[in-house]
Amino acid sequence: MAIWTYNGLKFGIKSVNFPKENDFYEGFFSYLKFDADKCLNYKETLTANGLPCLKCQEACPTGAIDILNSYDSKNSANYANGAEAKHIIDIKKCIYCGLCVSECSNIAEAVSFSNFIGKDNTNEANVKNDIKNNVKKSGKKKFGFFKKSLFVKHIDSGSCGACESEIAALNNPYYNMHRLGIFITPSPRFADVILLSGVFTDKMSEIFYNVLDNTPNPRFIILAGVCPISGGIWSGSGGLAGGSESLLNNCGFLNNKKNGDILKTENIILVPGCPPNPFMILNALLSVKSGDFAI
Amino acid sequence: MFKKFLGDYEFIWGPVKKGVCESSYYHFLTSSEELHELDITLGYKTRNAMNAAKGKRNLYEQILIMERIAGTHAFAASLSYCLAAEDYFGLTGKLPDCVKLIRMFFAELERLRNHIENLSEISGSTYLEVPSSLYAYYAEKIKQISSEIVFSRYLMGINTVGGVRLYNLSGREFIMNNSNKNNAFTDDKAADFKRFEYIATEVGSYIKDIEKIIKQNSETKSHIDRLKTTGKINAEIAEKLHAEGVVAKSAGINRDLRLKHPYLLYKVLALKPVLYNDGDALSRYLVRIGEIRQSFDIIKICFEKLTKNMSKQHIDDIHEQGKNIGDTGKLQHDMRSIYNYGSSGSGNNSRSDNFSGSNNDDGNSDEHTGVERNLFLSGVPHNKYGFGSVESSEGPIFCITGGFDGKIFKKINIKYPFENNFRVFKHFTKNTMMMDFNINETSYNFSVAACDK
Repeated sequence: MAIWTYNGLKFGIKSVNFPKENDFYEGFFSYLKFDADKCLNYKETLTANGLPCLKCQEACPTGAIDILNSYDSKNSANYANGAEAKHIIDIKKCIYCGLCVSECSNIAEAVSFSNFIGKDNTNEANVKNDIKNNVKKSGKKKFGFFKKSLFVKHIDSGSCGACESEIAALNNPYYNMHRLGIFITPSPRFADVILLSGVFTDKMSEIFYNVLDNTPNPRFIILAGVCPISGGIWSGSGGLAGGSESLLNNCGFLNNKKNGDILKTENIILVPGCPPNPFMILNALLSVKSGDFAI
Repeated sequence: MFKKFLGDYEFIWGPVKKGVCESSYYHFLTSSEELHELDITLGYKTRNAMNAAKGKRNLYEQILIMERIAGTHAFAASLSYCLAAEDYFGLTGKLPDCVKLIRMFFAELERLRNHIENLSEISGSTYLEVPSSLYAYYAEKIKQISSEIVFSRYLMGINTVGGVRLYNLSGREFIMNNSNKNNAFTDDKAADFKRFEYIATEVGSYIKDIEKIIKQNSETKSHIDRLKTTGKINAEIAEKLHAEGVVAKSAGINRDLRLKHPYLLYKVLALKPVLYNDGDALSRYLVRIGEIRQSFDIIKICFEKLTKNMSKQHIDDIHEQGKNIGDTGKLQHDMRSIYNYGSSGSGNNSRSDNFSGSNNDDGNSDEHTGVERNLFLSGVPHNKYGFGSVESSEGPIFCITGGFDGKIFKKINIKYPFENNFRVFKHFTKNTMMMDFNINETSYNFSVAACDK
């Protein structure tokens, strides 16, 4: 066993300096940016025909792009100027399949990726990033209840296993969640945060409520991945041939009718992505820990 | 209900368990140390994947569903679906070698990553935290390379019916730079292959370090002793229960599809099976180590064949092919076109018109559409079924497709090896030590999501 202690020391510290500086790995991306000025079709078709180009919207398998909605509700003159071209890609639904970029060369020039993580898990980009956290941002007084340590209880409510793999990766030497005082706990009674992944199936919903009842206040619920947020690629698949809508509505935690009361009372934080990058999950956990979200 | 004797007690574990794991329900009957009975209940996270796939609009969206049934086996699952679809359309023999090599390259990369992750879990289960962390670090590194090169940490979105999305391979840099599209593609056509070189060399350096960990791990007595004779399975019964993948190989049953029913170019490689006869956790551990080495060899061979043996013309061909299939998401257009054609009942010429029409819509030139047209000429709906089988890291994945309605497959099913392996696990866990349960379960490396599809 002594040899492993030696080997471990010899291996050295491989962790990132993440919260102190954004030293992400080469292929990391957090959120999509959409620059309407660069989307040529967007501008040209609007000015010529009065109708926006819908190629990317048609290609999107999850309905994350909604050019039409924003067009109908707004004045087209604003669009031509790119002034209101903010709500185009909804990152709460996007699964990063890249079909929109493949489909249309113009959106490909407009879309780019940010590797910046903001404090409140959003970024400065011109995408639909209004991640509505039920928690209010603390303006004056920080909520420092979890300042020293944060305990997380993970629940899988119907994910593909990739989210679990990403959450488990937080314990590896690269991310090393422990150094920041964040721990996975086996019991909900010691938990400060419930980390929920998956489409929130009916069978798991009862178990989730049980876990929630056993988790002491103050508590946060973090929804990891697009599955619990909007259902992702599974959304709208419940009521199809052979499947009973009441039993299998893969619409996610937020859209589930059962959760009406919970959504009003609980503090919910969203971490989109399919699967969400460990950095994103870590960032959300750090935000909770440092008290950026007030109860 | 279990039959209980004096001193026996039963308890349940799950669906929500310790740590980070998938939801499954275990029901134990035990008397202190010995585990007498085990009942496993799955189905807590059934997402009705097959119905979800039937509700999609085109074949690529069905691939997205297939990838997300079990995320850690995303590439193998999408490959099995693509092979089934290609079998249905009669494209199996028409695919160029480059596409096959690229698919093999990533299939082996996924196998390698899954095995390294499992070695980390096995080391963790024997309370050797240092090697567990080291393995996990290198598995993370492989995911980071995947993210860097193919835009997904879990190798999602590479396969399409009739090819690979080369756009996905080269799209990332283009997006990051936000540069001109034409420069990224046409100026350096061999650039795609440089990416494979990068992956091969990086993975090679990790493998060197991993070999050192494996060597030191095999010298650690506490580690080997815990694995030896733990979760031993009998070859005859395992064969009757249809054990698959690593579990079967550890008991000396050769059921590797790459050898028995070669797909892609595995026939050319002349692989030797990695077999052990003991059937215990150590054998499964050794099979994984053997497969890591084998997979890395295949990755090297694929890379060499891709770069050295392929002429410039081949590279151009595959580039054009990838461009056609992946570049503008033409697959969608193709399916729409076939659908239009099928409903209108017109001939081949009209379909060609359809293709060219869609190209004009995209503002692209028509010059590179020949391959695509040829590929989908045979995509006429018929009553037969397409079948695809792929050896994933844990065993074979079978996919069957049929009932093509011009857009999607209405009849579709996929089978993972885990259902069989759960049966084997349940049978051979009886009368073992409770203390060894974690090691035993980890060495099988189950994916609950694959069973609860």
